Amino acid sequence: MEQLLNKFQQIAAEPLKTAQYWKEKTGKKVVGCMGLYVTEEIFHAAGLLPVVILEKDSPILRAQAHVQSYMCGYIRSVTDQALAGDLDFIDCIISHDCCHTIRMTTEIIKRNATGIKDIQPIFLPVTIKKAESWTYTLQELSFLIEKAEKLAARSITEDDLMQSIQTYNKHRRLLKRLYQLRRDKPGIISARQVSNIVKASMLMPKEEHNAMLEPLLEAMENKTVEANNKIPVIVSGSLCETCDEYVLDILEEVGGVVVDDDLYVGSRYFATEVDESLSPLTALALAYVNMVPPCPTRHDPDNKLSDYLINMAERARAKGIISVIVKFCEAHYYSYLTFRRGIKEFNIPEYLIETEHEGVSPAQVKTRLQSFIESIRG
Amino acid sequence: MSNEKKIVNRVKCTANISGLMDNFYKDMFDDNKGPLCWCVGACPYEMFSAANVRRFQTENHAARISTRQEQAMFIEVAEAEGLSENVCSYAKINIGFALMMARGEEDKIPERYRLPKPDMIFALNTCPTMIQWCDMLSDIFKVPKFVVDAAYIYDENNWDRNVEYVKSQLYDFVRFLEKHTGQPFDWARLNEIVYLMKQIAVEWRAARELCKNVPTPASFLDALIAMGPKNTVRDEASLAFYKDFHNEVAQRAKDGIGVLEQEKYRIMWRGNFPWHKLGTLSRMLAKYDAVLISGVYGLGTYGDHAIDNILPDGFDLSDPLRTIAAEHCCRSYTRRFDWKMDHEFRRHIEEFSIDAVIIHSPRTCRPWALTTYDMAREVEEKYKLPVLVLEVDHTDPNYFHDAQVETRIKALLETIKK
Repeated sequence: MEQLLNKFQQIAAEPLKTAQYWKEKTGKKVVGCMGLYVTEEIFHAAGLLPVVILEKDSPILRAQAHVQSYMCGYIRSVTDQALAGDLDFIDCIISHDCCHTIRMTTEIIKRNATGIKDIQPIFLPVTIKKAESWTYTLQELSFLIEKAEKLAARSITEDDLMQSIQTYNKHRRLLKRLYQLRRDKPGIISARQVSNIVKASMLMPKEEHNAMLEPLLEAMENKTVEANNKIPVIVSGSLCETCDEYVLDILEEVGGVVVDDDLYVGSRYFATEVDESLSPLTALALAYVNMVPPCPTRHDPDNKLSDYLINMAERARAKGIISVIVKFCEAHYYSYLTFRRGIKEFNIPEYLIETEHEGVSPAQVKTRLQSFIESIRG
Repeated sequence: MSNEKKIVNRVKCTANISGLMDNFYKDMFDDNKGPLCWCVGACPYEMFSAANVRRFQTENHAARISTRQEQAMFIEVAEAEGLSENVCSYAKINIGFALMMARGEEDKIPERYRLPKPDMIFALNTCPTMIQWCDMLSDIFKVPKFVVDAAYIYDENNWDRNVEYVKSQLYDFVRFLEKHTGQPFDWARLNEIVYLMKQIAVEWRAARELCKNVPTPASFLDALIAMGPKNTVRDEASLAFYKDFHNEVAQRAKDGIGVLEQEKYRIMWRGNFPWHKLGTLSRMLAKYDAVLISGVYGLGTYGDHAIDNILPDGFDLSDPLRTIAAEHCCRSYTRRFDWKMDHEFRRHIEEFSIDAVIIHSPRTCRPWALTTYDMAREVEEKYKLPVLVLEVDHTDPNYFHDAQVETRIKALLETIKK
């Protein structure tokens, strides 16, 4: 188990290395997915490797000349990576317009990062449940299929798409099993380790990730966890980027245990399965408009974050909810306030941590999380 | 450069704006004029008028509060509820205002800003903040909402698809209005109002064209003050005002009357405007014989030449919903960088004899702020003009420091080679 966990950790530690190696080995093209909801299955079906472009920990040096310090760390870091040439090996970046900041960052990268081969914006409707949005979504996904076909210089059949959907669904189910095990046996795996596993899955072929996950899950099923008095909590947020691991570490150091999450590098990435009984394009579009986790950047009035997290907390028997907001993520700021107002009647403690690229003092975070955990303990 | 106080000769009829807008807001209390909708963002007000629904724009209301520097109380309430200080300051003011109303704390709100609670909320998300803001208001007041999604036009070839996307949602909105008013939608009235907007646009554009004169007969600040009726009221009284505005500007142009006694520097402004510092900035610039001539913020509503490329004169009177949809798709927020450089800079710089450009990078408005550094570089390189990127805010007073701003403006003006 430790060996497998170390492998996930190594892949997560150097986000683009696995894809670069894959490209050298196979001679095939790599597609970078920027922003939320780029339909990876489409590129997978064309024999390409879709990888998620994530924030990098390194200091932002080049992007300062183009992006204000009062923009989120994700886009500042991605711009910096693009300007540094880190993303040059990627054959095409698909940038989904999930917020205005990403919209304009795509333009900045296009103009200034001369080594970038191709960056293609797409727009998926914000009001996901409208009839007009359905047509628009189908058109954008069809456009992505054309784009993938051009990149791969081959056509994509319905069978290709269905096979990719099945591979991705298998992957989602395996990750859901991992999360079920964590709910059943709190503390069996640390929050950082789970983050590494999901992060690795965003950066490598799903088949290989599945092959690594299966033995890990088996080992976890056979492992017992000693009873402890840790406070079970769930963590939500950190959109577009990895939740700063030190926050997760501190949370578990000070007496909490993460029993479920609604993090982007977490359950949000695999929560929505694609219906295998429908035609592939319809199924992929439906998966978008019927996405399971309520998204602060989308408009779906009947899918409330407060209800979703209360259900998640109940299912995992969690005693507290921690929201992690990436500083300057405007969509999440609003969503957080609506969530906070929505859970008032449920009498469950909640706490907000705001993270930023340049880091927040771990000592401060520790004191605050310690107080939160102790206040629940009573 | 002289430090003596200079007189700013404003267009006189803009003094009537305050009364026009006060009357408009007083109407919000008149229950005989239909249900009340709070509109987030630039919304299709023509449709509200045709449906006999009272409406006002939440940003306009927030800007009104800010021009009198009374926004701090509302911002504090919103932040105390849990809204981050980094959220759009218009939204913070309005949400703070809404929270006070919902809590029954109207008596703490100065009388001139008070409003009735809404019966419905509307948003059109040319700026992505609008939807969340709309959701929040709907949640605070527990009233129905309607949201229109406007797409990012990343490829000009997608223009028709995107206009149709907005237009079809506007059709749905007609049904929403009929449901909540219990009345059939008045299509004939809609046609009348769109025609009225065309007449307003003619007056407005003619007045703006005259600002190419040296000295300019009206400043960009005059235009900003005058834009309220055009952008939010849109009635016959508004048309009458713009006729007066045009006539006065034309007379001033004919008589050679400028905004300043000595117009030395003609400045273009890009971005939204720090409403709470409108007077301060005007005086600050005048002190150095500089005047803001042109800009894009708030002036685009049926007044922007960009729409001419799509519809003749910006209007298709045979299809009012398409006209409204196209007008919304022409806004800066949904357009590409190159499009903005062409429509928001080139035309203004070339046609208005601009000497320098100020680009506002607001601290709490990401759509206006992001790409401003790149824009500044391109303007410097392409037009050889000095540029100042001013990082303040449209309404949050915490980001504006008078002395610092003045030093930077002074430095900008000193780099102009004349």
